[in-house]
This record gives sequence, structure tokens and C-alpha cells, in this order.
Amino acid sequence: MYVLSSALLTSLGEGKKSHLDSLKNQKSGLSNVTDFHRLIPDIGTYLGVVNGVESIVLPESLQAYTCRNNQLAWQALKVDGFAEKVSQVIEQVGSLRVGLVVGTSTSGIAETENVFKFPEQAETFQYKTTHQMDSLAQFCCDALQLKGPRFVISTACSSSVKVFSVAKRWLDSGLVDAVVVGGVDSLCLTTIHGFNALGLVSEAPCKPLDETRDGISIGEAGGFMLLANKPMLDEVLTESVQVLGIGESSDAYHIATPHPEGVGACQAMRNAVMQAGVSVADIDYLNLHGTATISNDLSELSGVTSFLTEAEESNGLWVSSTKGFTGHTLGAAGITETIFCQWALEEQIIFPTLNLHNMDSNIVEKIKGHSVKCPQEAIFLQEAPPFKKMTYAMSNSFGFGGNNASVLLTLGDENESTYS
Amino acid sequence: MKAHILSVGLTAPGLINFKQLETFITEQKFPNTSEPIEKYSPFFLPPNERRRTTSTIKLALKTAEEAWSSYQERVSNASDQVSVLFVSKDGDTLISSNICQALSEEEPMVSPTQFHNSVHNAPVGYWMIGQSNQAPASAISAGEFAIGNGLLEAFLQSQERQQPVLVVFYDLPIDEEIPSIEKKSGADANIPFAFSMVLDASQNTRLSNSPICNSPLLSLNVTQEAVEHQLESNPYKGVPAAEVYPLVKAMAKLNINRSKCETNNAFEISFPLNAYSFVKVTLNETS
Repeated sequence: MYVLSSALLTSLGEGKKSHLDSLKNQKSGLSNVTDFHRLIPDIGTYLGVVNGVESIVLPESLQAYTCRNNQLAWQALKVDGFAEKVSQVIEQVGSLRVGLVVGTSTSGIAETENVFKFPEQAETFQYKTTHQMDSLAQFCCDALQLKGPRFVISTACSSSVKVFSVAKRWLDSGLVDAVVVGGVDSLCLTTIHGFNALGLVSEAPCKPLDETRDGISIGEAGGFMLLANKPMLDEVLTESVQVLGIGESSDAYHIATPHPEGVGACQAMRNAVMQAGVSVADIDYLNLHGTATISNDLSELSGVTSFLTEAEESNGLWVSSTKGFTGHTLGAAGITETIFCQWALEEQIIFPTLNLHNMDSNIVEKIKGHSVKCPQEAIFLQEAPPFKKMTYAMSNSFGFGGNNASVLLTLGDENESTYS
Repeated sequence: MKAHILSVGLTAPGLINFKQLETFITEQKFPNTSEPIEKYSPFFLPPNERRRTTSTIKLALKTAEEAWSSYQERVSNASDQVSVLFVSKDGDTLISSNICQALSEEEPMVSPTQFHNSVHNAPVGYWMIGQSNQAPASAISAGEFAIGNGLLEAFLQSQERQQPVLVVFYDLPIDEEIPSIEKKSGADANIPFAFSMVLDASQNTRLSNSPICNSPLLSLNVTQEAVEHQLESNPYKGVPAAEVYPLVKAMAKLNINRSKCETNNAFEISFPLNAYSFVKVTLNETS
């Protein structure tokens, strides 16, 4: 599937340029002093807040959808000319031939939180267009004027990787000609208090893979990609990014804790590589789920190690977690980090793991003997001789319920398309 | 697209399972839709997990288990590692309601168990744990368009993976503490409903005497026009999952006629995919 366009809004800012600035210069979007912190006086934590979301005004015809999640979505859809690109494709193929599948974990639950706190607002509360689990899909279709199939995947933090799997099935079956995939999750009290109750929230900015890591920082984000099985836009791209494979699996282990050996994680990566028809050794860069909880990072790196064991020969694998920049954006983490992979390929940059100072000795032990490189600063591949072009990048996302998904992207010359 | 229906599960007030629907039809009786849903406990789960399951999770698991066990009985070499798709408009609104209530207190205290049970994929997560199934598991919401989208997604998954898929539709009424304009307009639905199927859309050539080949065949097409049909009124009408009831009834009738060696006419029904398109479903005796 060709990536025709993408759009991303996180606490780092809007669009490719502002994200790249932060990712290159190690500027985090996490903060412990934001407007949102006034709502959680008892919890000391860093958050990846998109400032001003609550004051975004939706157009008159979309007013019923107003909630933090859809406001964030609306702002994200306008980033980097994304909505215009969707319109261009609609003009070519017709609105019935463009589908939409998006991920979210909590939808617009913040509205229901609010109505419990202020019962006088019950009179005007619109559950269906805000909190209902498919509200995001309803909203995005109306906002983009799409009339193809649409639904929401909600498998916690793997939601917006699994959307790629649906898009591929829709495109390959000929049901539609293009698909908007994406994910939006916005800050709400449910997730902050919920993760806090599970003892998984760090008081400091999250430190993926570090020996002192002690939990996640929660963030919010909205991201979208426009996909099609052939290049459809006028712009001639010499090299374009394609989605080659998606792998999914279940841990079947525990509802809230990952399998200690990363069995499901490994299987998801294996399935992605298999669907893409490439070999393990081909993968240049892996954007880890890397939440910075003690159990996730160790389990995931165990899975990565098992995965690498299958490589006949290894050229070395770059790995990093970008959660230190954006926080864990939950149902939007998949799309956020898939777009990071797209940009990594386009710009030939390996993004660093922010806040990693000393790697956990247990992780060091796990990856011993494997050529895994985990940079603490951005690596500009073209400036790092001998230059070996990064061609394949993969992103992992895992969620509660033992739900795992990996997506594999490639940078390819259009003329030698590897996609059939 | 075509798929064989290998097994079915059904839970609704007045109907403890699919078999009972067949019995009611044969005896020309009608289910009492005001009866409570039968009590159930997912014994395939370890006690710790079982203790944490809610009514929503139990409704989904009970219905999944019915289709799953009858599939395993019928297909001797059945793989236990098949993809699973759970479809629900709202998931567990009692949990959302409890959490939002807790958050409205002076000192908010959210229960960790309620929090991890609040994710939309909690029921399918418990299912995968209970069945030691490491295949892909998905949980989706298509709002009122559950059946059209859920069937289409299940067909496509089965086709892509060339394997059977277990699909479960379940909806409960929205918890009464959650207010909404929709409830005021009378559009609320008070009857829970759940339905499940193991379907196989793979193109594998089957032995002609295999149970798969003797299973009813479901064909699916995306159309812009709905099939015009004169259906009896649906006593379960309300939640999106219940929209499948006429099709389930047609499946039950097909089974009854087959056991009497009577021929079945094809049954057609349309489910909306969204406000613009439909999924036309045709149920046939196996070709």
C-alpha cells in the first residue's frame, strides 16, 4: 500500500517539520505544568499535552461531535494538507470508494466524565456522537465527506496499527480504491487515574529501556495516513513509502501484563515480515512499543531477541522508543510511530530513545550476542559512513488483553514496486 | 464473497442458545423477551480471571463458547488457533459508568481491575487467554452498522488468512446512569443480544463429505440498494447486534428443514454498511 499522505499532531506540534525538529534535537513534548494538570491535582506526572485542543471549534455542521477526541482529530486532519489530499482522491474515485478505519482506546469518554461531575449538563449531553466507541469514525467520515465503509478498532494500545490490516483487506478485495487509516486518543481522567491505579505512571518523564525506568508518561495524539494500492496523486514522488506487511498476534497470557518472554511480540513481528515477504535480516530500524514500564520493555526486548534469532545473518538492527518525546499516546501510539517510521525512511534518520542513559542490565543481558543498536542521539545515516540506506522500518504496538501488532514499511522506487 | 457457516451461538432474553430457537420454531412458540439472560460463568478461565468478568464479558464469552464448542464437535481436526473478531457498539458501559462516577468524587479512586476491564477488547482478551489462542484478536465498533461491517470484516479476515474466523456480536443496553439525548428521544434499546458464528471463507478444496461442505453457505455483496423483503417484526429490535435476528432465524429454519429433508429457499437480507451502502447477505443450503 502506498502512503499517499500523512498527518500528525502530538505534543511536539503539528506536521512533519515540527516533529523532525524535536526528534533531531531531543526536545520532548512532555511537561509537568500544563492546563490539564489542574484536573489531576493529586497525581504528579508528566503529560504529552496538545495545547489548546479544548478551544478548537468544529464547523457548524459537525457541532454534535464536539469533544476533546474529535477536536484533536479535526485539527490533525488539517495538518500538512492531508484533508485536501483526501479530497483530491475523492474527486478521482468517488466518495463511496474511499474507506476509513481508525483506532482509539477511550473515544470521547471525557464528555461522560464531565457529565457525571456536572449533572446539570445531562440535558444537552450527546453520547452517540462523542463517547460512543465509533464516534471518531462517524466524525472523520463526515469531516472528510467519505462514504465508504468505516469503523473503529479499539484494542487498547495496538488499535492504530491494526487499522493497516483492515485497509489492506479492503484494498486487496477491491472494495475501495483508497483508505484513510488513523488513530486518535486524547487525555482524559479515566486513563490517567486508571494507569495510576495500576502503578504504571511515572512521576518523571518516561525513560524507555533505562535501568531507572518506572512507568509511562501519558500523551495525546491524532494521526492519519491515506493509503492506496497505486500512487494516485499528481505529485511525482521518486521514492515513496509503502506499507508492506502487518503482523498481529495474541499473548493469551494475562489481561494487563505482557508475556514475560515476549512470545506474542515476536509472533507479531514474524507475521509482519512474513506478509511483507522480506527476511528478518532486512529490517533496518524498529520503533519499539517501548512504554518504559518495567514489564513491557523487558518483555518486548525478549521478543525482539527471539525474532532476531531467526535472521540468517544480521547487518545490525537500529531500535528506539520515541515515547520519551510524545508520551504514550495509547490508541494513537501505533499511527504516531508508524508515521515516525515513514519520516525515518524519507529522511534517513534514526530517532533516538530520549531519556535513556543507562540501559537496564537485564535488557543488556537479553540482547547480548545480537547486533542491536540503540542510539541516544539522532543518527543521520547519510553522514555516518559507511552509508547504508535504510530501506525497511517496522513499528510495534502492544495493548491490554495481550493484543499485539507490528507494521512494516519500506522506502522504494516506484518503478520497482515490491507491492503486488 | 462466500463463506460456510460452521457453527452458531445465540444469547438473548428468552433464548438460552441457538438450539432453543430451533425448538421454539418447530413448536411454534415465541421467546419471552422479558426473561433475564441465563446465568453463566466462563469455566474455561482460571478462577482469578473468571472472578473479574462482568456481565458484558460473560455475555460475549457465553455466546462465543457456544459457537466454538459446536464447531469443535463438528470439525474433528479443528485448529484452535483461529482469528477472533468481537463486534460491539459500546462495550461495557456499566464499567464506564462506574469509572466516571468514581472520577466525579472529591478523591477519585479508580479500581485497577475495572480499568483494565474497561478496554473495548477486554472480552476478546479473556477469550484468547481462556482458549490459549495466540492468533490475531480484534475488537471493533461500527455503531448501529455492526452487522454489515462485522460480517464483511469476518469474511475478509477468513479469506485473507485462509482459515475459519470466530465472530461475536454483542450489545447490552447503555447503563442507565449515563444520560444522553438519544435516550430522551426514545431511541434507547433495553434488550441485550449476542450472536456468534464460526465461518470459513477460505478457498481450500474440501472433501465432499466433510462437515464443512455440508454447512450452510452465506454469500455477501456490497450494494447501493437494500433487498426489499417482507420480514416479520423483530422482537429483539433495539441494540445493533439484534439486527441479525431475522438471519439467525432463517439459519434455524434451514436446519429444521434439512433434518426433515425438505428443500430450503434462499433467504436474502440487507444490512446497512453505513448511511449509503448495504451488505446483501444470501443464505443457501450448501451448494
